[in-house]
Amino acid sequence: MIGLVVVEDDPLFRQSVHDALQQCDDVVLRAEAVTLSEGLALLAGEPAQVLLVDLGLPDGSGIELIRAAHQAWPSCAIMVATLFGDEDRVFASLEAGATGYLLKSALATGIVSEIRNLHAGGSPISPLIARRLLRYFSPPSHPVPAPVIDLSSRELQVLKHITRGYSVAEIAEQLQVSPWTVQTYVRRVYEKLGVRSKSAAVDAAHRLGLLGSGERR
Amino acid sequence: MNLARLLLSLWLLGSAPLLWATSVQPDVEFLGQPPLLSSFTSPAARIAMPEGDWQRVQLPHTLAKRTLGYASERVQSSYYRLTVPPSEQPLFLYLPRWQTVGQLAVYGDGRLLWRSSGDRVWNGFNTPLWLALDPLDGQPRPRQLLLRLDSVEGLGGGISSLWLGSEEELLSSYRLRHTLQITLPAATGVAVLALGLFALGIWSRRRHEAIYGLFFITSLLYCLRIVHYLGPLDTDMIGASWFGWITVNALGWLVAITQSFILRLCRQQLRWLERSLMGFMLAATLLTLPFWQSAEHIGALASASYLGGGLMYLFSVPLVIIAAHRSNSRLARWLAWGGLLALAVGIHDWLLQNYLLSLDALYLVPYWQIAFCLLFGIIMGQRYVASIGGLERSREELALRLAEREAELHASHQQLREIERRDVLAQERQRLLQDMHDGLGSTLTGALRMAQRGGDAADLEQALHECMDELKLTIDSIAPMEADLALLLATLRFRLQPRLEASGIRLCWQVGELPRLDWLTPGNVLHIMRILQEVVANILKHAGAEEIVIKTQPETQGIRVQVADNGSGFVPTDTARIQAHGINNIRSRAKALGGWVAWSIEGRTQGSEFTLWLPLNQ
Repeated sequence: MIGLVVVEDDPLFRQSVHDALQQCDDVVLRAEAVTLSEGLALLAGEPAQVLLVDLGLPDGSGIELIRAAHQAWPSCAIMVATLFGDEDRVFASLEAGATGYLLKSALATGIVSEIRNLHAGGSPISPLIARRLLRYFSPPSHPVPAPVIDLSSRELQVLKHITRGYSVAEIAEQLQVSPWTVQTYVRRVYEKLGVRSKSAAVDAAHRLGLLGSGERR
Repeated sequence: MNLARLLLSLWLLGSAPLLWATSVQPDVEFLGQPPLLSSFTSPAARIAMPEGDWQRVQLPHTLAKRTLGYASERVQSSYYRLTVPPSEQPLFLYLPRWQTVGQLAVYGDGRLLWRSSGDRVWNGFNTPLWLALDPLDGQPRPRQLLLRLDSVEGLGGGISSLWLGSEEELLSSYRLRHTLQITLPAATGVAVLALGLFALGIWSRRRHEAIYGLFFITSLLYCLRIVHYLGPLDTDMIGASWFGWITVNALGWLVAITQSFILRLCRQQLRWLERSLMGFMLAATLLTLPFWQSAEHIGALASASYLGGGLMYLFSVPLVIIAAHRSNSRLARWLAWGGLLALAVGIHDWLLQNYLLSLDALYLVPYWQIAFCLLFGIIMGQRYVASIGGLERSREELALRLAEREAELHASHQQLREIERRDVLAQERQRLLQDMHDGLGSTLTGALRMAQRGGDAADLEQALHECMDELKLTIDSIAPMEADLALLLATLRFRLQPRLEASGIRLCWQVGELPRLDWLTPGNVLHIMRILQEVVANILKHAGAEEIVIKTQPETQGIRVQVADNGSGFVPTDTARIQAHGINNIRSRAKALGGWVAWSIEGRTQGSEFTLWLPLNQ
């Protein structure tokens, strides 16, 4: 059973989630919040398996909620609800700790399958996001020297193929692995991005003298 | 009054080295004889003690004062005698100075021990005498010494204090005296000449700066003058009369040129003064020419010439001081006031030369040039430092000007970029407007009409889906493609995939590495996306295909993007009016990109192949 928490101010989208969940029995809506503060309050409760977050909440940014949820519910898969899946918003969410995103225009079946997929450990990815990730992890543009978290050669290969337009299935065939393995590569890249951007932030704070040296480790 | 005090202190300075001689001065008796000879003869090897009225005298002692401008042809002899005290140690005679126009001989117990050499006028009057009294052959030391001084009558003569003593007692005083009278002036001469040659080097390049040339001349004159003080003249080298003419006049010229130097230094024009100084010196130089004067006469005239020079100097010094004070050159002022000191020094030496001062004193003129050279050195140093400073300033100015120019350039560059940015923005705005008008706007209007008419819900949904697709396409077109056509195609596929999957058509993707397309602006990205979207949409709608192959082919001049299907096959013709709009759109977009499009069914069993050719450089 997958416990879902939704933080979203658009009643129509909430309604379409409701509708989608009524047709399946393995995903249950645990709780709903309409604002950021309500969402943050929910984090005190029992962890959900999947958290669906809208970025444009009336009292603040969903990014903040993602960061807090990543901290409070480490095992929860965080999913961003986005209108277009555009690069900037998705990347910022991934940096904050999200591992998936959902297009709001998706059909009911699409919503449920994305939730299941994310819970199982798979993550969606677009060519533009893959390009951005390659940029982020490529050595020269690398903003922080201290914590070196690099991608494995397989992970790099997968990202490169995605920027060339190949689907997960095609990549799996070329690399002679299962499509599922390719999905987990993508998920792992997202996790590395989260860890690295967090340590980069800590490191930047250290450089600016915002944290004491004891708090680093 | 001040001048007198200055002279006194100079005299004390001059005689100071004598005070070091520690041994007691012996008692000396003097015998002067009237002139007996009409010319000089070499001193005899042996002479008997002359008889006469011997008198105790105090040293330093002078025979008679010089009579200005007068020189008789007769030679007179004068004698000094003293008893050598008994001593265990070898004894030496130390005589710091003897001065006369003539010669000196020293006898021990009637035997000649030493005699002056060289010319009789320029006879080494400034060279101290150091004489060992103990004979080298072990003979007993003489008990009585006799000094015989032969002089031209009327030109004066005399000896300074003298000492008898051991080497230990006297040598250091002798050394000091010798250094001050001979070595120091000679060394100064060499140094001054070196500095003078350096100045000449500068002057040869900078003719307008007269002070360098003048300094060279003064250094040369000083060197000539210095020879005057250095030991007896070798008459084989230069005649005594010529030597006298040169050294005597050198001093006068030195004075005149130094005054001229100061005037040039403070940039004051006193042409008449300079002219009269030069004129005077020229006259003095011509008058003392050896053609009509003997060496002895020149010696005699020297003192008159010095006096005249001194008067000339006395006259010019205040004028030069006033001139120097009018200028802002501190060094010129020092030099001008230094002229007063030089005047005092000159008077001192004149008095000494004319036996009006104790013969123990030193001639001071040679030392004056040291101060002059130091000041000149300071002048050159200041100019050097100032020129370096100027160079640095000019470099700084250059850097400043460069920075200014850079800032201007930066500003104009910034302006240009601002204009460019505005242009790009305007173009982009126009493009977006056009796009909204043709694409999203018209689709939305269609959907609105449909809704107003109460049309089919499925049709409405389809229309709105198309709107979303339009919007997504627009958003994708602004994403940074970074000149990467493969990324563009990948993004397009990512968007089309759900629709292809829904229609059950298989997509075969064959996109490899591609060269960069630097002209991939958002507008161009949208053109390519629309072309390919239109082509794929046409296949979906009309071809009834099961498979679509999208592949890329890099070429030398461009890139080929091919979309092939296995449907009914389609090649647009001019008669196909119905599709004309969409096809024309594709063609005009391809043209706008600098490429072309083509449809073909050649060599295919089924379906058709669409080609979009894009240039590498627009």
